Amino acid sequence: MIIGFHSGRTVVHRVDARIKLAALALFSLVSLRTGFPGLGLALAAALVLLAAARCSPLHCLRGLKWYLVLLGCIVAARAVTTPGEPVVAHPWLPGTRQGLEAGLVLAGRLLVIALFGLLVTVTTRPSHIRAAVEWYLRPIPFIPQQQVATMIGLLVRFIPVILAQSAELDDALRARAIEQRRNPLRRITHLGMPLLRRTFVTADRLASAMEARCYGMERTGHQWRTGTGDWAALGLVTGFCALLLAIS
Amino acid sequence: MPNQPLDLHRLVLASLLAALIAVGGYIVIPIGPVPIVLQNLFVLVAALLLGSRWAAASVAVYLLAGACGLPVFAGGGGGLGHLFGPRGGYLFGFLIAAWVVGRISETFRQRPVAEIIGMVVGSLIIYAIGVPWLQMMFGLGLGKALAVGMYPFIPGDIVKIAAAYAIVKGVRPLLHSGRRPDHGRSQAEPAE
Amino acid sequence: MDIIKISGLYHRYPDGRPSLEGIDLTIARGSFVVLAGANGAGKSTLLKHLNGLLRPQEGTVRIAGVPVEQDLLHARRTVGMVFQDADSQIVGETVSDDAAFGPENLNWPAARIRESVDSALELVGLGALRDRSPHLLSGGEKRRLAIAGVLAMEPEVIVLDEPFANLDYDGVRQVLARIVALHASGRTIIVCVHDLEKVLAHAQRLIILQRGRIAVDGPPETVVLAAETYGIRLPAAIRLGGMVESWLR
Repeated sequence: MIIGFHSGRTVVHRVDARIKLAALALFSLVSLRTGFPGLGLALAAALVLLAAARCSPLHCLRGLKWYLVLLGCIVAARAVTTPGEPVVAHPWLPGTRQGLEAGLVLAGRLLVIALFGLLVTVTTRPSHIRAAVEWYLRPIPFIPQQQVATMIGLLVRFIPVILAQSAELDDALRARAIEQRRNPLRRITHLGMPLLRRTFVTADRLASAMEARCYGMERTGHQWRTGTGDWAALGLVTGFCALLLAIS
Repeated sequence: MPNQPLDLHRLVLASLLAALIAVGGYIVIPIGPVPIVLQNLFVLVAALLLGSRWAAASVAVYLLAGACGLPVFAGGGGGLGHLFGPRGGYLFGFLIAAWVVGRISETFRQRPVAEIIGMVVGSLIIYAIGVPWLQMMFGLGLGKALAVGMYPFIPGDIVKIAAAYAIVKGVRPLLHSGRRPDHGRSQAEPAE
Repeated sequence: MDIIKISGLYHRYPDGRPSLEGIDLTIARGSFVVLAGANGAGKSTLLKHLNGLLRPQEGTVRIAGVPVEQDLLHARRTVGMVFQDADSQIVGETVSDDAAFGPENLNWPAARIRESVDSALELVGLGALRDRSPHLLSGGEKRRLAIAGVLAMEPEVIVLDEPFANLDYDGVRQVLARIVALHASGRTIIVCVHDLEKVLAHAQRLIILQRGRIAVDGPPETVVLAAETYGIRLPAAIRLGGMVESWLR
């Protein structure tokens, strides 16, 4: 259910995580301003890069399934609510052309952003993303970037653990016929309370284990190796974004 | 976010509660016409247990990780697409709600009435950001946006506030007793 | 040469219950010690004193001659501790990230970290799984990763709290084989268990704890006969008049 990192040795995998994050931010901002031609180009670029990263289209589609449904809703809602000339003259299909266009542009932008996000997710090691975030936070005052990085690392590490615990608890409750309970309050507390208790126990043990392994403020940072390929990638992304802005 | 000194236990707990908030997006309790998703429940619980600063930090880390493409958002990949997408308003609402609810609980020293009112305020904040966002996305009028993005969830929210209160009441004692014996500070305590 | 020297150690829980009552103990460098006791005998409390997670309320704990509270970092680098619950001590998003966590905390240069992580993962046989998410490992593999995380910091002493809990037969053998190999490579091993069966054949010394005191201490073959008096099950082989056989055979 969770789409995560897939290790690989493709060009996209090898680009410096900091550059990937910068590119993601740049693309997302630019695509918020593009119209149809730019969107088509950006969409094509995203698909080419996903293919270059050896990410199967079926896999992507599965990952974005619910997101696509939401986007479909946006198109439909926009088409119905925007005033203008009807697409087809039929009382059962009240969509307008202007509405459909507006909806498609908005959904297209969100789709492009989501696809680039997916590309980063699939091709970048979580620890590299964490290190890149730490690097970007460094110049910002009052934010302890190392602690933020540690928190991000623990968050990613413990999502599957807690997910498994909640599934286990849910099974245990079903085995004792929780479904017979009509009172939703009871059902939520019966699940939430033990889940939280376990989280507390885990937190206690984790803190001890981290202390035992000498966790502190001074840690070895990530070793960045930025080659010419990375700079080329950055140049390419910037150029592409400029092109998108120019044609929209 | 709190700076030094490093409170490792708080940091770990805030990270795990962020993970719980992320997992909450996947936990659906199928009761009634609108299924109950537990995500905002855990935001409220985190706010009451961690207090304003760490709760806001916890939600902020969740959003930041998601924005950077780490797979933390329910409903698959997409990263920034989720933050900018239809649900984005609610996600940003969590951040402010976590801080406000934590702040109210701190100001009134965890008095039950204040905490419940705080959670009601927090839930309203989430809608105050989420619903206009939805309006903008779908091009809906306020009335319709409320009908789609708020009214159906109100019964669930009332149940969740009650549940959050019960859960926090149940686990808060563990938060304080759990910390004492382990961290080498025990020599400072009188042996009663 | 004694690597650990404890004298007159007392500890009380915050609620006032005593948990350690006058522990005197020295452990020689390179030995393989099994510390046994029923639940609540004070095993975990004692272990937590070895690397300063708890500090002596009374008495002293010296690691390689240095009192723990004087140099916590020294104690934690010398004594590596593998906790019972592997899942809540694995910090990294991947196997190699987790093994690198300790060395990164020690602020080692990257090249040295890479080297020690590689050799630690090789030693526990996880070299091929270095990019795997820890969540996808089996029970035995998780336990071995927890050991690797400690090994990467190159400690002299390795303390393992209930290393065989919740493992299947194969998992027990995997973990036991690594522990025995670590001992053979010269490290001091302290294994804490409530059931002697799996590890006794490899031990050089058996210490039984009861209600916060050391009840008996000596070579396993003589001490073990008294085990049942102190709430520990006598291994079946001994009951039948033999000696405990290694689980690795």
